[in-house]
Amino acid sequence: MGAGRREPGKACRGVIGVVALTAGTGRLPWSTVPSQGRAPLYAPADDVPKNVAETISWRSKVVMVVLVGGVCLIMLRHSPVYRDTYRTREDCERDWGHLATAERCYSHNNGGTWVWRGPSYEQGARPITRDASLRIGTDEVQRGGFGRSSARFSVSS
Amino acid sequence: MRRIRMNPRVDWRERCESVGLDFHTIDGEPYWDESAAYVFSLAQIEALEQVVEDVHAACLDCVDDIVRRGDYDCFALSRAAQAEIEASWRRGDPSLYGRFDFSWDGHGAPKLLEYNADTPTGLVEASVAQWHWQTEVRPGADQFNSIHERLLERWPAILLRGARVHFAALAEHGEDSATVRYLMDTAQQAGMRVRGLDLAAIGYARERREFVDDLGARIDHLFKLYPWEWMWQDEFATHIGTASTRFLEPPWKLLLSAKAILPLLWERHRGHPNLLPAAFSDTLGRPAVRKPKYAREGANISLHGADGSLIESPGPYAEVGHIWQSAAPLPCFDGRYPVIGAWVIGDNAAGIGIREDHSPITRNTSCFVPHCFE
Repeated sequence: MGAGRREPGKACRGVIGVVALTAGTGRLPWSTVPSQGRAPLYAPADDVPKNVAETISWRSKVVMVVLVGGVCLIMLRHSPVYRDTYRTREDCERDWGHLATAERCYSHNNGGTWVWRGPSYEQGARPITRDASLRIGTDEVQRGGFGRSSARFSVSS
Repeated sequence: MRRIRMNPRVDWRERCESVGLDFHTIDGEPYWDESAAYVFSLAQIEALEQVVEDVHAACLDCVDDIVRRGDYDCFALSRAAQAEIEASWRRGDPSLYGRFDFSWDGHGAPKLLEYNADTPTGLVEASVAQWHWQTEVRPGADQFNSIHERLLERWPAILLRGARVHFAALAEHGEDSATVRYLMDTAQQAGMRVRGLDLAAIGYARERREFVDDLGARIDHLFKLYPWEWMWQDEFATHIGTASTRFLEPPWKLLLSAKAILPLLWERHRGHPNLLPAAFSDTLGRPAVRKPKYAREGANISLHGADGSLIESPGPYAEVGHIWQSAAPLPCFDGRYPVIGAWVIGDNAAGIGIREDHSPITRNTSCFVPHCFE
């Protein structure tokens, strides 16, 4: 027999138990599967060492809060989102007044160059900033471009 | 191979849910059915394992041949799709998994019905739920099932540890979500940084020419439980070739998931004991099965019997044409017709899952029945 099977008595409980540790963090809040009040652990929670389980439990709650928030944002953000780009971080700071959201990224415009991106905003909702003339471009993020074909069919096989 | 009746565990629903199979009942009917089980011999399992790896090798050979010839006419693909398929094959973009469907009664040669190479599901039940069933219900037996271990090995073989991998599926599909959650979990265990999102939340940043997640972060590696033939029809298809994102499954897997591969496989490996004669036109005689080139869940299949009988399944897939395949009637055990779903992780046979139906056409309502071997 090749390696394609588990040997009797070679419990995979240890391995599956590890899944249980991560299943909490792996669960996506966007699932519509009826969970009946329990996380879809891939092994009984009894297999989880107590100290680690407590850590994961705490971590799961944080992840859930973050991801649920993310889902709300996703639902709101199927319209384009924009981020202005700047030649330097200082330009971005001068316009927006803070540095926290300035990010360096590569732009394919003008032959390709590194730029700094400011905060995101939705169409028609850009706040009035100190000096918008400093921006050299605007990066548009479109969403909803995958998934529409599913309306006609079922997905899996 | 035999079908035996079993007493379901009293708390089988809770047991299934506790291991992640919370879609055990669909539309009020059991999808997970442990009132029966299929029992194999070790020799049968070993034979099946070899067949899976042989057929997988034949499939890869066929893809290589298609790409070398550059002949995609029968797949009805756009030029952009063809280019990406070629590029991904030539780059050696790795595959994670796939599932063959075989007709077999334990005797003779298993016959390949199709290869669900792009978006196979049934993974949680095959890898996890039936393993727990076996350890609890038939602890003295064994099971052809190293799917979980193979997945844990496969991730670091195809991606650097610590790589960021996004997982996307359609949020409204419960089974797909469960499959993605499970795969995400295996990736995380294997040392990857994972993030899940709804497929529709994937963004495209025009200036950066990148696919981004819901937080605006670049998507380097995307596991998508969404068929390639639909990806190519969606609005973002035009960006697939220019963005840096690498996809799982890779674009070349489309060739194997399309039923159009079946005639090509037969032409290239004519007489292979595990392949059925297949053709692009109705030239095979009867009994034969007509299948859409792109279809899922047993939809739009018509079974043309030797006696002139016709069994058809409804569905929405009829746009791109059909192929014909000689019929390998599914065996019948206690009035049920089982299909053996054989999992490939990387290039290795990794286990099986069995679905059975009252009809000789397996559909999305067919039950999953666990197995073991003794």
